[in-house]
Amino acid sequence: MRKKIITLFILVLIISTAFYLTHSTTENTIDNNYDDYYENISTNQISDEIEDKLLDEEAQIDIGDMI
Amino acid sequence: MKMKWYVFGIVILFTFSTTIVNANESEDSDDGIIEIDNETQKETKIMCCSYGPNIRFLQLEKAILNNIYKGELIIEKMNDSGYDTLTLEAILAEIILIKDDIKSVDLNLTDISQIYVELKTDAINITNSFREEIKDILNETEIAEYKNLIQEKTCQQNKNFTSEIKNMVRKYNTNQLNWLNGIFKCINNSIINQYQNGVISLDTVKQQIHNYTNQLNEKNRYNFYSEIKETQIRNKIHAKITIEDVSENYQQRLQDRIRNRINNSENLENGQIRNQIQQRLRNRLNQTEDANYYNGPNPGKNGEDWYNNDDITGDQGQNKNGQGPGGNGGRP
Repeated sequence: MRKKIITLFILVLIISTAFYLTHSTTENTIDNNYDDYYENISTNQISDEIEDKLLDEEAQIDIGDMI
Repeated sequence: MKMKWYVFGIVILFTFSTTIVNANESEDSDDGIIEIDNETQKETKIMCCSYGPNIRFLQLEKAILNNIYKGELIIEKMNDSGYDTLTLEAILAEIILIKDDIKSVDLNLTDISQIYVELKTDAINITNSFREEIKDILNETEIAEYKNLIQEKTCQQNKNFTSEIKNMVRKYNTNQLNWLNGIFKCINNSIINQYQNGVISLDTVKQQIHNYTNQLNEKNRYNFYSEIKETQIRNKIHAKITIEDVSENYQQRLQDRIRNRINNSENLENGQIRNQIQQRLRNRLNQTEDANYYNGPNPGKNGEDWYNNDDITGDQGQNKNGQGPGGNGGRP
């Protein structure tokens, strides 16, 4: 009976470790980036967003040249 | 002995669980999401905003009109030089059919982003077909000479398009500026009006926003940035969903478009070109049906290869002029 419990415990430990390893890395990266991203927003960062938000009147769509 | 079986069971279970995790991951990366270039993804970001579809379809029509004009110039010069241009004329006729498709799109459709991506992919692929066909006929020196010839030429019709697109972009930008002003009051309304009427440039407006953000304290600057970023992220998500939607039933939708173009090609006056274009379209239809069966290529980078192999699989028994015994489904 005790062996069964130990085995079950090891099994749960292995599965949870596998789950943690596959998910935690990504989440940590996202959290760190989030913190960095929103600290000290500069005027240039806002200008970049505005640049991205407003369209260039002269912009053209590229479908390739005929020759 | 029992202990050995327990260890064996654990190993099996561990292998099984990691396999499931890996299978889920590979499903995520390979569930039919096709590769669409970054520019196209960016272009679809504005499709959910007012005037967004109008702008993109006008820009696409302008680009394709420009190529039609240049294609006509190339064919005219090649005819003067005594080259056989029937295949090129058929490809050009197909480009015109795509242009007609673009022109007739209902911009209020809910899947308008998807339609845009698909038609743009068609336009890119057919342009590539034209270019490849020229490479088979002309040598590098001649190609350079033709490039120089058409470089300076601009389609007169495109000038009207340019001003229409500019007006539409101004309306779009005015909407965005009004939205910004509604939250932060960062620009004078008179400046927005002047911009909309074409009195001042977009750069002047941007400069005013820049001056405004310069005098904000850290907290307000953060809030200002967050508001803009939030809408940008929302639009990016919309674009991402669009790209995913393009994968769904792509082959079926492509077949519908090809069938539609075969029907529309009936109106072509030149019988030789009509035969050639219908032959090409029917060959492609057969290919897509096969591709559908074998889960074949989708648009994007691979789409070009698929679009250009007419000569390999389609025009069997035909020479370059489309004469001789036709391939699959040739016009009677």
